[in-house]
Amino acid sequence: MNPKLALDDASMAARIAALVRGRQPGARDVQVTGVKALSGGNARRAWAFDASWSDGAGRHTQPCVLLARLEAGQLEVDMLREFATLSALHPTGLPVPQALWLDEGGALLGMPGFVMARGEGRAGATDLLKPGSTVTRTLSVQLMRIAAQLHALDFNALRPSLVPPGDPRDAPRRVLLQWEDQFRNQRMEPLPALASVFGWLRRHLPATPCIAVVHGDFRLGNFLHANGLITLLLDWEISHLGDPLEDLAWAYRRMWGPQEFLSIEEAVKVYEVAGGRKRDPRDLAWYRIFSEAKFAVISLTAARSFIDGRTDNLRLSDRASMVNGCLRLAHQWIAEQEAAR
Amino acid sequence: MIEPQAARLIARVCDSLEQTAQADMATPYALRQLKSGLWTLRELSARINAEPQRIREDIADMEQVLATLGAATCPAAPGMTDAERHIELQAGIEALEAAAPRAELRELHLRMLAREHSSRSQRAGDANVQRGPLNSVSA
Repeated sequence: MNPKLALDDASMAARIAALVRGRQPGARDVQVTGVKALSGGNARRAWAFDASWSDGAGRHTQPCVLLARLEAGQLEVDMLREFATLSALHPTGLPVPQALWLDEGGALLGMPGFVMARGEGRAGATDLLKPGSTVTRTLSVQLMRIAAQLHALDFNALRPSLVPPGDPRDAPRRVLLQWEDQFRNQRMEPLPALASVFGWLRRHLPATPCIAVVHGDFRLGNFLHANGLITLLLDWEISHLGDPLEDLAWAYRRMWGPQEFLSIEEAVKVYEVAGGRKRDPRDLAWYRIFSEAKFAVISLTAARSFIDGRTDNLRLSDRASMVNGCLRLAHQWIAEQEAAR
Repeated sequence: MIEPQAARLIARVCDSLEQTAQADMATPYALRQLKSGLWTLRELSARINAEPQRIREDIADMEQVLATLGAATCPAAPGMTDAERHIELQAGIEALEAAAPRAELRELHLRMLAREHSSRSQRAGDANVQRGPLNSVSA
């Protein structure tokens, strides 16, 4: 955290211009205008702006968004990895932002960050979850179709940075163990109720042959939409190789799921019709329990970042209070799974 | 769970308000900071009186379950606070379950989670939607 870093519009414009000059080949006469701080997420801050520059092909103007990590948050965000993910996925035709310029170490911006092309539309889940919303069902159906397209990509044909070393078939186990490791590193007390959930998940990991690029934070609120259409899928910072059911289960966490507009059973059907693989419902149930454990760990990480003084973001101050709801639900579902065996 | 303990958290919230919102209330971010901080302080004020009793009930419950399952436990050391004892017993429960999952331990988890839930304001659940991690980049 660098509390002395000036974040006013003029200071931001100057630093962004330095990034454009440093990263856009042949750019001269760079101008950055219309800098505006956006509400951003909990993991990083965001600014909208327009960049213009000249090169051998003439004058260019590009609407942009800068995503930057100013301080610790609820996730350990790897800007380089997210930039590489966007660069690999944008050409596939999926609604993925075009990555433009990266400052991984923050030498030019004063903080690690990258710039992507700005899309059209609105973000945020709050309006979409209001009773009577007329677009939520349509957008939820589109989201499931996009999931099917994403999960159908040949990950071996994408950039190597998206495919970690090791047998891809072990990816779900690695993902589970990574989250359990993060729990053990971030917890402020033993919290045996969550350790118990991770123990159950390890003992009942689905024997799945289905591996794909997974978004990791796939849900209402993490896309732009305009005129009833999803225009861009955002927030790729924890995308990884894993089981596609991770995205479906995450999209239907009760906090942000569109279950009042499109039931999870309907969503699974849409997903399968769009090309998603048909799966055992018990595997989906496993991933719904995993989603609660994952959100609990994210919340613990956020609470730890705040209490240790690594962030002053007060939205994270009482995030530990959210763990209780995750654990009650996870244990309830585990009991149901045990009873059904 | 009992961490972060309320007194420590309140101190950190107040420190942060001094360092952020007071210095720059003109920006939307500072306003959001202030709203979130006040929300948390109100939550804590609702929670703080119920927590000591809840922690003592958890301790008695964990001690009884450990004894029932034949796990060796030491009595609380002299001068140990209830919070420290709670954490010590949590570690014993975790170790026991890591060795062999038991139905009695899951039932203990459920009782402790229910106690924690009832000791906190119901507004916390609403807060998930109101000020949770839903808002993304709005470009």
